[in-house]
Formats: sequence, structure tokens, C-alpha cells
Amino acid sequence: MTGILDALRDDKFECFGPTGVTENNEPFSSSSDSDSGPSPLGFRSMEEPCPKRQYIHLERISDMDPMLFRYFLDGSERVTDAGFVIDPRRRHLPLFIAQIGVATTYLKDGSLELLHYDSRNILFFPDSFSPEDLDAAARVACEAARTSKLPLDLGFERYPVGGIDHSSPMESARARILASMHKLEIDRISRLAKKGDVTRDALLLIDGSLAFYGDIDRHLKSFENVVGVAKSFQLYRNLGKGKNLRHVGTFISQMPCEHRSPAYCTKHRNLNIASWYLRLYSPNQIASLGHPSGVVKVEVFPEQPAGPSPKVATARCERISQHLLALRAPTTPSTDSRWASHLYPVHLTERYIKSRFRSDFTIKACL
Amino acid sequence: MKTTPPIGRVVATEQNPTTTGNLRFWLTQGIDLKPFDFVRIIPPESSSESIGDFYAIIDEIFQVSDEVSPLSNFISSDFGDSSQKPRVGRVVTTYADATVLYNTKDIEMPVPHGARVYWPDEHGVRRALGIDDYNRKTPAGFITMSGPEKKSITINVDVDADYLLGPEGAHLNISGISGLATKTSYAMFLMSAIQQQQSIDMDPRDNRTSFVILNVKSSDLLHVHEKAPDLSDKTRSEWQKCGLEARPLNEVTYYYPFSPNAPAKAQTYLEPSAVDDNVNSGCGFRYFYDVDSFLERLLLLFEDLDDPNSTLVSCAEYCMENFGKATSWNTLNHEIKEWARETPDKKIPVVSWRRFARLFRQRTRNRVFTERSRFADKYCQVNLADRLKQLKPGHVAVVDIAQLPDYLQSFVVADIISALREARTGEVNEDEPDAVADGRTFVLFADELNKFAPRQSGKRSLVRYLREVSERGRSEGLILFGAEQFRTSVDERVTGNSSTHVFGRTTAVEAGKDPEIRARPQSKRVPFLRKGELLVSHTRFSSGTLKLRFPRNAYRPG
Repeated sequence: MTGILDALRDDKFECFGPTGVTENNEPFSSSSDSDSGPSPLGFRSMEEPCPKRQYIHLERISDMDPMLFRYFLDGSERVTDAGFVIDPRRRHLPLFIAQIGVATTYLKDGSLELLHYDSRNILFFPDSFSPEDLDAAARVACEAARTSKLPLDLGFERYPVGGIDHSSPMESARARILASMHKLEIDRISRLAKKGDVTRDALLLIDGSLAFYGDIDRHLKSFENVVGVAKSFQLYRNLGKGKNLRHVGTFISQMPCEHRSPAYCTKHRNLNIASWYLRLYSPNQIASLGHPSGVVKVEVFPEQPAGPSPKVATARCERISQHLLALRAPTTPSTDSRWASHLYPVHLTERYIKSRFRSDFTIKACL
Repeated sequence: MKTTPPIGRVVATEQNPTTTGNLRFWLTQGIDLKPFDFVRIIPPESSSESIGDFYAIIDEIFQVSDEVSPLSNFISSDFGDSSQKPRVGRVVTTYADATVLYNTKDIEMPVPHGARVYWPDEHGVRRALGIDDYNRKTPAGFITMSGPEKKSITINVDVDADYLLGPEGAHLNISGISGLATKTSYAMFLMSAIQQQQSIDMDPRDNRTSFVILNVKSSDLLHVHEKAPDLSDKTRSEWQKCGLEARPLNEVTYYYPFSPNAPAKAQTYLEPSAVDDNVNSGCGFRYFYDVDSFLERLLLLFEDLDDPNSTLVSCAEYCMENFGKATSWNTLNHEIKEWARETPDKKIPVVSWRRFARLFRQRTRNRVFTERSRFADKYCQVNLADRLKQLKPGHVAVVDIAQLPDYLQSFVVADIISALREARTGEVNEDEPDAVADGRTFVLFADELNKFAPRQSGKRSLVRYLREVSERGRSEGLILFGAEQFRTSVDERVTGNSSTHVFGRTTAVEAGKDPEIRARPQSKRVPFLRKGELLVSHTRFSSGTLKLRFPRNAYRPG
């Protein structure tokens, strides 16, 4: 039985063990469910009819109204520092093993049920080796993981390594890990859409911004009934036009509870996304709540996202917002600092994934 | 069983690891369990080595949600809107703590994490309880536990007679509040079970137990040979579950305190006609104390009184030494009256004689202290001690002391204990020289034990008697079945030697005070036991304590 690193060493790779166990074993700490991704700046109103108020009050839905959100999807990853490898250019490059999980839950009679769980364990390896070397690395590493004392079904992916002065290998690896997770998410969203389960009356709610999905234009049809809800977003982005121009942070600081903003257009590649802000909780209710807490950013695709002047019906925005508001109770446990902006079904879906991840120690046991 | 889905999974966490004795498991939704239920635990599918199946008993059941505090729930409910109906139910799970009783491979290892929890099988539970290993079994009731599809499973439970009636262990103590704890009913059920069992068992060791029952209140136990008029089919089937027949006690003889002037010639709460019927049919007698039998126990007459200088004892001993067998009550009373004027013995001051005479007069005024009547045969007037010494195996003697004042009740109880001990050791059993060799056993059932052996009264002679029974009765063949409302009010040495403890419903204060209850994991349940439910702790139970039910008595209540 050989460890992954030993197997790579035996196969001529020069690599070392991780720097040691630290309190925070996650090499990446930033969240993937905010809108801090690649979406460009700039907003324009796209609701039809155009709302007259900048803060739109939401009526509560009746208890008898069937829930609009039936499916919830979330992805999560746990990354373990797996050591280092010296590439042919004598660069000291990190290795990572990422556990990636995507869970889909279904809301039935007020209870959440697990619908699907997709997961992958991937060794991220720098691509600065010859194709033969990379093939050999993949073969020996995966075999070693499979035959280890705590067997691990391991995949192999490369992360790009630029010139010695370019972006850090960490960032490159992180981007690859997130891309792999988003791919897994998109696969599941597509399958759900194909099956016809997700409809206008049974929406799929995903945790995070729609703008995260790189090749979303190829799966546009699958996203017709998907609503993205981001817990965090950029507060310094401009919103509005002319004399109404202001930062998002300024705008939401005055937004009352149970109100939303009009939907604005956000460009994403060649597509338009309708997005608006919705306040679930307000600092008026709990003084300790910061003004961005309790606000979520909601995103949907308009009817013709690639068209020249896409529109989204006010009634649709209204209904989605009302049902999101209905999901604010119960809250996620207050031990989660994002509780005021976190939706309980999403929290449970995320918690399920995290409960399925193996601990760093058992991953490191394979090294 | 293995094809049906498990009802839960064992979980071993950093905070709550499983041990060789304890485990925790979560329950599948829709499964109803209750404390004292049994479960069977099979190691997880991933387990490579077979470590056998485990059987465990539920100690407590919990439900937990991810709610952090009442405050967070208040916020979660839209800041205290109690009418709000959440669209998503909060995640809750029910989990149970259980005690491991048995492993089918006799392996003592912690139950593995992820082990599958199933409903138990009856045979497995009996093995887990160790019941099948008993040499001599006495039915003790039945367990009703949860089973699949909301149907309950009933298992009859035995106690090991070697540990209830000797020689390995002995004595039974039952405690619980009046009315709800069914103390007397349970003792009577057990005695009926022992009697029925010994009538069918061929083992000669089983055919040796006689019973002496004290009737201490109203006419509770004065109909134990009569069939209950309203015995339901349910009751009959419960008796059958225990392997017994729903029938009253057999071979019962009643002893009523004699009183020549009373309508029934007896001091009893029983109707005079019923007394006469019993007497006429040969199963009723009236006991009395003549001077001879009285003097033997004279010291017991004052045993509840403070006597720091032992003056009462000195006077009593003087009387015992100076009166012969043929003395009449008149003579005795007269002499004692005289001695109260002028002491016959310079060692005892006249003041002491005066106190003795006054108390003697008061306490022997009861008509149970009388001469043998001219119509003794007609009245069936007997010496209680003599009759009890001749009690045959399997027979029951009910001694009625309900109408006697407290000090006379104690006097009679002490007399009974002395008689039974003498019968067993053969001291005065000249007619039956084999009395010791035959190894017979007497069960003495004393309700209101707190009256006879109160705590912190160790100097009292009756307490000393009862302590001796409790400490040496096992080897002497004298077994005490005691019952009381509060165990903490009874002498610790009397209750502490019991190998079987039974707890009926009691108050929370008593449950907190009594170390016997406190020491048990299920102690919190004792104040909430329902009528007819008892926690039974028997030396041989591998689980320590079981919650048992037992059938209603089959005799006519008083």
C-alpha cells in the first residue's frame, strides 16, 4: 500500500508533504455564494410594468398558497492541502484534494427530502508537466488512493500554472475547483430540467449568483425556472442612473423589511440577468444586525436573456419575492453568522453536503 | 428481521462515544419507542468481523432540533408571531440512550458506530435478561414493549426463586404511594405465583414455602381465598401470559384476634357472619394470649416506649422470672398492682413499678389477653405461635391485626417472627424433629413496614427482630416481603438486604431522597409511573431494573 505522494515520488515526481495541520484546514476561505464573481457593473431597470417606487412592499402569501420553491440545490467543497510537487521548471507547486458535493433537496409537505447527491474527490495537479507525466501521475495517484487503508475514489484534474510572475497557483487551483463544482451543479440542474420536474410552479432555488456559471449560455433552457439567491454581494457597485445613481450599500441601507428593489439588468457574457434585492430582516428588528445582513440578491433569467431588450414581468418578481419571504422562517441557527440572509432549506442542503465530507485527517491518511 | 429496515442507527460521537455498557441511537421517523423498551442492535453493514448482536434497554428518549435557544426560535417565528406557520419544518431528530444488556457472542466491546437498530425478538429479550438461565423461576409479571407497526410485544418475566426465597438471596421490598403503587396487589400476585408454581414443580426444593400474611388495614386481605367476582377476560389472559391460572390463594387459614364481647368474638373489620363461616368451615381461628404465652413476649409490649434506664425491661424480666405457667391474668394483674405499692425487689424502685403497672394495665386491657375459654373449641380459640409453627408447606396463614392498637400490632408481629424462627430451627418443634432438615421456608408479608421498623429506632426490639430476619432470614428460611409508602421511613438494614426491590409510583421528593431510586438511570420516571406499573429490580436481572405490569388479583378485594 503506497501513499499518493510516495507513488508520485516513485514515479519521478519531486513532491513534499503538507506544511502541517493548522486550525483552519481549508486552504480557501472565501465564499462561493456571493455575487463577487465575474459579473460586470452597470444596472438598468427591466421590469414590466416598471415599478414606480424604489422600495416595493411585499404582501405576505396565504398559508394555503402552495410553495413555489420545491427544489433546492447547493454545492460545496472541502479542500485538503495534499502537499507540493516540483515541476520541470523547478517550481514549488501545491497539490490539493478537493471533495466536491452537490445536493438537491425537495420540499414536500413542509419537510425537506434528499433528492440527489453528486460528489467527486479530485486531486488537483499543476499542468506544467508533459502529457505523459500527467497521465502517469493520474494513474499512480488514483490507484494509490483506491488501495489506501481508507480507500478513496479519486479523480485527477490539472490546474493551469502561468509564468512564475503571474497569478498564484493557489488562485488557479481554486478557480479550477469551483469550476468543477459548478460543472457538477449544472449537470444536475440540466438533468432536473430535462426530467420536467422543475417548472414555473415548482421552481429550483440555487444558492449563489447565476453569474457564477461560466458556460451557462449552453444550458440556458435548463435555467428557465431557476432562481439564484446570493447571501452576499458587492456593496460598492453602482445602482440606478443619473441623479438616482448610488452604491448598492447605500440603497439597501434604507430598504425597509419585507420590501424589494425593482429588478435591474445585469450583463453576464452575452446574456442579461434580472436581479433585485430583497430584505428578509432589518436592523430595526435586531439592533446587532448590520445593514447588509438580512438582504438577499435574487436573480432570474428574463424571457429572452440574449435579446436586445429583455423584460421580466413584475408579477413574476413579486411572486418569487413573496415566496422567498415566506421561506425566511424558520431561520437558520443563529450560530451561523449569515443567518439573517440564509434560507433554511438551503442551509439544510448545505449541511447535508458538509456532513457527507470526510475529515481532513482521513484524506491525509491517503497521502 | 434483517430484511426489514432498521428503526435507527447507533451514533458514536466525540462528545458521546458508545461504551461497553451504553449507547445512543437516532430513530427513524414515525417509530415510537418508550423507556424500558428493548432493541436489538446488529453491527453495521461495513463491519468486517462478526462481533455478534447486542440487546439493549432504553433508558431515556430525547428530541433535538437545530434551534439554538428559545430566543432564536422567537425570532424565527417572525418575532413572536405564534400563529405563523413555517413553510419548512425545522429539522428534528429523536434519539435514545440505552444500556447494553447482552451480546450474543459474549463480546464486551462498544457497540460500533452506524450499527443498525431493530425491534427485538422475544427469545432474544429473555436471553438478554438472563431469565432462561434461572434454576427456579417465579413469574413476576410481564413487559409490554413497543413493536413493529405500532403493535406491542408482551414478554412474561420471571424472577429467580433462588434469589427471592433463598438460598442465594432473599426478601422483597415494595415501596410507593398509597392507592397508585399497587404494593399489596403485587405482593399478593407474587405469593400466588409462588404457590401455584410450587404446586406444579416437581423439584422438592420448590415445595417448601408457607406464607404468613399480616392484614394491617380494614378487611383488605381477609378474602384472599375467595374468587374475585368481576374477573375480566383481559385479567385472565394476563394471568395466562405469566403462565398462571387466575385463581385466589389456596389453603388459606385466617387468624382473628379474640374478643369475647365482640359480635364475631373477634376484633376484626370482617362481617361477623363471614368470621363465623370461616371458623365453622375450619379455615378461621381466633388467637389469644394467656399469661404463659404472653410472658414469653412481655418485653415486646413496651418496645415502642422510651426506656433510657431500662426500668421497664427490669420490671418485665422480674415478672417473667417470677410467674409460672399456671398463672392467671387476674393473679398477674393483682401482683403487679401490689408491687406498684411496695417493690418486691430492692433493685427496682417503686416509682419504676408504678410506671410499669400503669403501662401494663393500659396495654393488656385488650381482650386478646385472656384465659383459654370454657368454649375454646367452639370459638376455635388458639395460640397463634403454636399454629404458625405447624403451618404446612404451601399453606397460607392470614393474621388479622387491623383493629389492634399499634403497640399490640407490633407485639403480634414480633410473636409471629419468633414463632416462625423457632419453627424453622426446631427449638420447640418436638413433634417434628425433621423441621430443620426439611428446609421449609416461610414468607412473611408485612404491609406498612414503616410502622414495624421505622428508621432511626434501632433500639426497638421489633426493629432488631426485623433486622435479624433481613440479615439472617435467608439462611433461616424466613423471608420478608415488606411494603411501605416511603422507603426512606423504614430502617435501612431492613430494606437494604432485599434482593428484590419494587418501586411503585412515589413522590418526586421521595424519589430524590431514596438512594435506591436515585442510583437507577430511570429514577426520573418513578414519580410518573401509572397505576399497575412497577419498577422491579431483581439481583438476577441483567438490566438491573425492569418496568413490569402484572395482572389484577384474582381474589375478592376487601
